[in-house]
Amino acid sequence: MALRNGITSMLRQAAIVKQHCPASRLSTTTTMHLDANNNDLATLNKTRLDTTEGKSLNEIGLGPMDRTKDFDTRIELDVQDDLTSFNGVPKEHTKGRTVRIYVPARNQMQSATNNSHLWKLDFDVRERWENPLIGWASTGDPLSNMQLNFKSKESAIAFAQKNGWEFVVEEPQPAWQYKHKSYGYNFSWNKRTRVSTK
Amino acid sequence: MAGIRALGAGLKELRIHMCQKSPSSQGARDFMESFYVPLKQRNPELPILVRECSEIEPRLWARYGYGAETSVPLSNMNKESIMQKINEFASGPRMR
Amino acid sequence: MFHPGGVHGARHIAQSLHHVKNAIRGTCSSKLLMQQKAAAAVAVESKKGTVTPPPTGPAPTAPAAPNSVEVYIDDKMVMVEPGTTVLQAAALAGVEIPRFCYHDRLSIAGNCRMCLVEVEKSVKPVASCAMPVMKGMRVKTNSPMTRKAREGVMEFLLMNHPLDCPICDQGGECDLQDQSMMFGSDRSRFTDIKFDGKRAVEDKNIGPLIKTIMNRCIHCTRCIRFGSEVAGVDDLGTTGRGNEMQVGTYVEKLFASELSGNVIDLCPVGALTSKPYAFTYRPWELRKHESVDVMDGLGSAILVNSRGGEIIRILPRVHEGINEEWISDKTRFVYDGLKRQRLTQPMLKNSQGLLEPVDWEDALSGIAARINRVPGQEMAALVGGLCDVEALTALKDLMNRLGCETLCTEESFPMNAAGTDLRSNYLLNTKITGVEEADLVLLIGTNIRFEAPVLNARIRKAYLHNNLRIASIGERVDLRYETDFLGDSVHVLAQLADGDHKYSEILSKAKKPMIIVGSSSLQHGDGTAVLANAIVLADSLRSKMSSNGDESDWKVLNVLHRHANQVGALDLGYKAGPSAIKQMQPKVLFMMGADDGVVQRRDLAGDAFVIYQGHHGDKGAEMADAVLPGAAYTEKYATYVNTEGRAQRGNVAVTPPGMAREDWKILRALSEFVRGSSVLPYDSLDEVRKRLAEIAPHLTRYGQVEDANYFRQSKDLVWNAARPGHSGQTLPAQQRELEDFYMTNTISRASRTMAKCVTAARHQKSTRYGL
Repeated sequence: MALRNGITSMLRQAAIVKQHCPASRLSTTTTMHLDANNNDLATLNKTRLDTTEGKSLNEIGLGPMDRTKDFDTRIELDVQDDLTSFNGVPKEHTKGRTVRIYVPARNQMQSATNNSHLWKLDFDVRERWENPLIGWASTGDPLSNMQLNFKSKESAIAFAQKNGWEFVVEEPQPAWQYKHKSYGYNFSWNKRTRVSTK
Repeated sequence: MAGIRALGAGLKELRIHMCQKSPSSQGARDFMESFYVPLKQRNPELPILVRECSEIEPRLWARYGYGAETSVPLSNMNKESIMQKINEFASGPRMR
Repeated sequence: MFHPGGVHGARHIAQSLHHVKNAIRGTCSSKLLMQQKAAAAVAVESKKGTVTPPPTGPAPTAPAAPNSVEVYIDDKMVMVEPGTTVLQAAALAGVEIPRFCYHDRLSIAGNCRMCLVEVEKSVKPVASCAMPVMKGMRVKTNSPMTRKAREGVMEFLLMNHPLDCPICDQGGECDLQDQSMMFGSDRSRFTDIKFDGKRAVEDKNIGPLIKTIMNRCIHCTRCIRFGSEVAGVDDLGTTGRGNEMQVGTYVEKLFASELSGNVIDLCPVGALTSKPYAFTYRPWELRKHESVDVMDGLGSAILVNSRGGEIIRILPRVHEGINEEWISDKTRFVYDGLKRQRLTQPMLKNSQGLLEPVDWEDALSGIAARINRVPGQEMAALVGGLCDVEALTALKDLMNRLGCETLCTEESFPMNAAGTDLRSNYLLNTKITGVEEADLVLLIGTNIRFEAPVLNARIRKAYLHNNLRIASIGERVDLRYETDFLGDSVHVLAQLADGDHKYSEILSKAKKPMIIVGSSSLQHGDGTAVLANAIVLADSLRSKMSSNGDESDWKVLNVLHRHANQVGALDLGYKAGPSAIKQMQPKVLFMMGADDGVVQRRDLAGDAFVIYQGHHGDKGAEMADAVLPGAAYTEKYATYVNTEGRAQRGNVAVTPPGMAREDWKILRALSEFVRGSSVLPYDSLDEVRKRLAEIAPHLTRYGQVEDANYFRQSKDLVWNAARPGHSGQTLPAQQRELEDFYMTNTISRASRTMAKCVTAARHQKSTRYGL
């Protein structure tokens, strides 16, 4: 709402559009906003959006309190993302750790494969021992339970790079390979595939 | 063949790295076809380790006593120059 | 760029506010955040109906044969080869149909009926695991009829299934549990419990490895088919029928196979579970570590499960190129040997001649003091079969810098002629998958059944499906498939190499012959003759193949190693065989993992100083003057090269016990103490691996097999030298019977489970049913 106010206040200054009551924003938009030349303002604003890309707020005549819903005022930097200075991970767990990026193997005890349809990021294993108090597993490694899941290898690699970890990617085995099978082979007369048990 | 001789006891191990298919290792592959057998017959006690790996730069490594090692790339060299390099290496480690 | 995705009102505004805040704060990662949000939006949308394809390697595709048949699975069309089953076609379409009895690597049974799906124009549901597709078939895997069929089958299965979930080891990874939740009905109609109740079946004793609770058996017959087809032992079968059907061995008999532990994975319910691990864990509390096995030369892919700092179990991983889905019993159950007889402290022999624990610095300086007194030419190193390549490299570098050139492996290999120069001389050149393409395999001096059980399973698979012909030379052993037994000495091989034998004709007619020379035949006396004749024979077969117009890259000669890192050591340039050590009688001997006892005190100089670095206190540590505790294969980041020449990485599951350390780090530390400029130039694992690549570049190409060539050169060198004579003695198989299989290396000798297996095998041999 404030955005439209912002735009319309500018446009009012330019006497392109007349006063527009903010309350009617909630009504169904059957009214089409036209400027003096009968150009659809929506289209005009869209053109305006294209021309405001990359510009600062001041350049396009907006103040810091104006909402910039339709204006992209960010700029792109050509720098490698590096989160190490503020991600809170101590230096000894950034420099010294190696990360494994892999597709987890299917649990062999079951036939289901849903758990192997993702990429995992895992840290190198450090010492774990049995705590004498209750018998739980203690460790001195704060990243011992850190296991992250990703949808793709690239996003996992990007994450590891951003956080400054050395990473190793293990390519997965091919998903499933078709093998020719036939129930009739179990009963062949002359082939060794004749089943001796039932 | 010219150039194939007993290489002396200073050289402890020769290693030849080459690619199985790429053109830059063609000289190394020709060397293996032609010169390896006579060289080995002249130097039966010398390990000449031939280690093939795909898509690598071919290299010749020579190891001398007390861990000294030198190496030289063999890309696009022909077999005679490789043989010559081996003979050069046989004389001892020198900074190259 | 942030483009509003559509008109979504308030939520849209809230999102944009969030991005404005980010923009003002100046986080430059918001571009990636945008992308991830967009990806998330797409993923959310796609969850509605379709199945997201697995993000793994190449998507599963059927070979696009010219006569492909079109099938519609849930209205999605797939083109499949004729003869594909409906279940496989659905898998190609991305739909997994539930099943109990169907297994990808076993024959089709079709007895569980869980795979029933509705096919249009068919009155009854169709067992998709067995039904071949027809052109234009429309399959509905989620229709009401299919769902009703699944609920019905599940109900029948659960009627006689005991309520054992709280005490069943399979709980948490049970197919029956998961499928009843997903496909079964929500309530039970079983009222017979008040009358006859559920069926009860006696438990069977089939060995010290497999615990059977046959009440839970759903008669899927996977174990029976595995025993019969993959393992080749027809021990398991069914007795009775209908409600009285029982799965078992009928007479109390050991399930006498070296692959018997795989039925534990195959059984979809908790009927067959692991006896050593019984009642010790639940699967959700275990951590998974992927690693590589070192019990034999194949380097099977394993998954090590640990809890706290302890290894709980070892499972196989799928690797089509090496072990498919199977692992041998030794691989699976040897983990308890990793907890016994461990070296945990560095030790030095004191003045009374007893090994006394010291700390690292004292141990290393004591050893260095002795080493510094001895010139390099009087030192030697001996390595065993379980060492990793990083440790081997560090040892070789250290010894070379000290002036020592005598580094040997315990396992011999003929070093005459080309020796270990050419990799093709000592690798399994056709690769393990080559067995499936071959049409004749000649086994020489190897009991492949016990030396490489998983490779034997693959040969058996080719024997069943591809009509593979197998011939063998060597001691007569039972390989669980028919072989043409040609003879038991090198004499037969020499005749074949000359073309003088009756079998030579069959050999020369083979289109893809494979010769597998077992490393056990290369150990003593006739070893040189064996390899030389095998090389000559392979060369003649290869030239016959190319004269018949075969231009392929098929390599005939293969060598099968029994030790995990023999190939790694040979790749690095170690001398094979301890003969060099026995000749020179060293004053200092560094033994790394050398526990086969090939070198004794009497082979060394009188006052020799023996250093042993390893993880178990076995024969090597017994004769040592200094003991350095190293890490076992599950406790270090290590590279192992299997018998095909494939370098693989092993990962850490638990850390080494006590004061033990990783092997290459010990050598790096020792290098600081010894004389001269011997300090090793690497400080981290990456730097060691860079050094590995300098020695042999394939050692850092993990998972790939590099082709090795120059067979002709090898044959020329062997041919030109006098063909070695032979004594005509039998080529002995070092593992003849099942009882010899279980304890072959230092870890398996320390394992209680393996000891029980040996006892059980010996006991079974003495009964009237034998093995």
